[in-house]
Amino acid sequence: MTFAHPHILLGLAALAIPVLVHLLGRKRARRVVLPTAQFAEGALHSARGGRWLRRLVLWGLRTGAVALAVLALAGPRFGAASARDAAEEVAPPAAETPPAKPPLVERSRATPAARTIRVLVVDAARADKGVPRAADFLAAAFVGEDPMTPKRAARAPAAEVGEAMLKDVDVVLWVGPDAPPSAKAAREFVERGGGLVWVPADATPPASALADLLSADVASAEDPADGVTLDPGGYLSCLLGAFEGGSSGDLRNPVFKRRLALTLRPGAEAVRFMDGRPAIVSRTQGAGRAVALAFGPGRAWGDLATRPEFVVLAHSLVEGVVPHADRVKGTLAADRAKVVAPGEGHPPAPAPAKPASDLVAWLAAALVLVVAVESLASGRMSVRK
Amino acid sequence: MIRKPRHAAAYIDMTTTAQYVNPEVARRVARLDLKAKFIVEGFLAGLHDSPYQGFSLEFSEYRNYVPGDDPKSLDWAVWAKTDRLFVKTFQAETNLDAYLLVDTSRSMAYAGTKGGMTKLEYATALAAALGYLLTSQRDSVGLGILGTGLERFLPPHATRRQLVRILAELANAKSGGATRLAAGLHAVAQRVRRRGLMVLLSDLLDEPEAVLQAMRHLVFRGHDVVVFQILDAAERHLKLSGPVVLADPESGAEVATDADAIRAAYSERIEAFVGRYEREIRDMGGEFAAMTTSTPFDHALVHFLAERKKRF
Repeated sequence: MTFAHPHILLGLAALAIPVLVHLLGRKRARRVVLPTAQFAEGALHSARGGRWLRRLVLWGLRTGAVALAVLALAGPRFGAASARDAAEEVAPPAAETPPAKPPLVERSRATPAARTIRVLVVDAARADKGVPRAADFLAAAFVGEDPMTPKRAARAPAAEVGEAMLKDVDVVLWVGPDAPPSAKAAREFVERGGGLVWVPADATPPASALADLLSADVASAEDPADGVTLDPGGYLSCLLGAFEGGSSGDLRNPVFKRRLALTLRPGAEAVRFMDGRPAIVSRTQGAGRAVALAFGPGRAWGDLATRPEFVVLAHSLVEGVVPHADRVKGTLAADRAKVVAPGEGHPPAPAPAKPASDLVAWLAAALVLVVAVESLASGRMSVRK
Repeated sequence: MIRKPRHAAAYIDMTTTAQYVNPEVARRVARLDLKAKFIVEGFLAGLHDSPYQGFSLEFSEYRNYVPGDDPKSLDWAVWAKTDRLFVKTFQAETNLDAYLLVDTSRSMAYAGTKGGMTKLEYATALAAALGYLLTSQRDSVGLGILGTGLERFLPPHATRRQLVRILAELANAKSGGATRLAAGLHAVAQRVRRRGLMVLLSDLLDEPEAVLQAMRHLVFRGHDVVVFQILDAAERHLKLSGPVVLADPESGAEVATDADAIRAAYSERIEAFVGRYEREIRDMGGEFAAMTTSTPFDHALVHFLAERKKRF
């Protein structure tokens, strides 16, 4: 359960009020001479239990009334809805409502209050009408849309990528070749602390701005002692091992039995092909980090980006480049990733006001409790013979 | 011939004396003898519709009929001879020995929460009225003051001086000491040889079994027993509220409680206490009347007369 106004919870200190009312409301017992006091002593033993129970109920009702009133003012939200509402307070909802993301095994470990990672997919690949492309599959890994009939609303054309578009984005998934002005904006984006995942996909020119950004130290990179070594045809088997049902599976709702973990060290090859060429390289640039797949002329990932297995890798890469401030222990950054449409990564809008009916219902419940308390306190609910 | 009253106070307006059966009204009269007289006169004034009318049995004298007299008491034979209306008056039998036993234990000093008439004041007023009534009927009346035992005892006599002595004793009666009601009753039973009518005025706040045993002792001796249990309304119904510390005036024990919380259970216990006395006393052939200090005196007098009538 989360609260729209958590600071109001400080009002729970008012729970001490019933106790104070009880203590302050205690009348000083007056001494009365009564010759028949012996009968009062006998009656005291039989009435003590009921009196104690009545006081306990009275105290509970008073406390409950105060707690309900405070909770009503704090604006409680329950269950999964509360986590979603909390996320929506950080980022405005996308134009396309994101469907449920793939249920990773570790999803249950995610902290509901963890910040949403806003991902912008930059589509620079060649547009072949009617043919699914790597960008479609990559976006599908996060959006869950059908890559065979992509809506492509959440794609940003590479030529239009600029500082304004990247202003409130956390991670950029760049698919296809780059364009120099846009690449410059992407580089500055990384230096400011953003994350960049570059999937050259199809044919990538040997010389590009993004290649300059990432390949400077590739030649002298250390051997990834704890990295993953693949042969050109064997990397698939490595990734396939992450799936429950082998290579089969629904790209929109894949079921994983484990998450592929890549160690992305700055300026190092995370994955290398058997022939020694880098398969995935990463680099720290300024405050951010970038990672590229199949970098290098003549080397491509083939059709990997269009296969369900690629979802695993895409999630892992996003997590590898997520800004440091957004890394929450025990959560998966990729699991929190949400693809946003261009121009949607703006500052959060004010949280939508809670429906007045909710507040009224809570306050009505508190009022009912107060009435019950007063009735009990005044003895109208007590049984008298 | 109309006899002139000896004292102005003795001249009673019968239309207003009925109010003196109300304890609150009778309490305004300071002198016990007058109080007794007013109570009895008020009782008799309101007795026209009572089944106990004419309890005196022996003819005493004729007097002129005055409006308000019961036509049944007219002597029609005299009317036939003289053409005047005369009423027969009767005097009581004198073979009744009645004993007024008044409890003066410390608990009898209780006057309730509003400071009204104490139980002892009520008991002495009622005893004085009974003494006045009995003396008027030429019955022999005795008195026993019961405190920690039988503290004072006046053997029965049917004289006016006896009434004066009784009233003096009652006027001087002070409450104090723990209740030893059973011991006092046993002492009376041992002391009185001739069968009589024992009228006990007490709150009976003593060990019930011991008191009942003492009453059985009286019955065993051939006495008739009439018990007036006098409690204050605050005792009977626990007319208190909120947290209180209830202190027993005799034992000194204190009970801290909430009066509202225990009222129901308290009432059950006090009713059981009263009910037990009533049941046991009736089982032994006696008369029992539970009353509070606000109960009109005629209620007690009617009970007394009912018991007296059983004897004739």
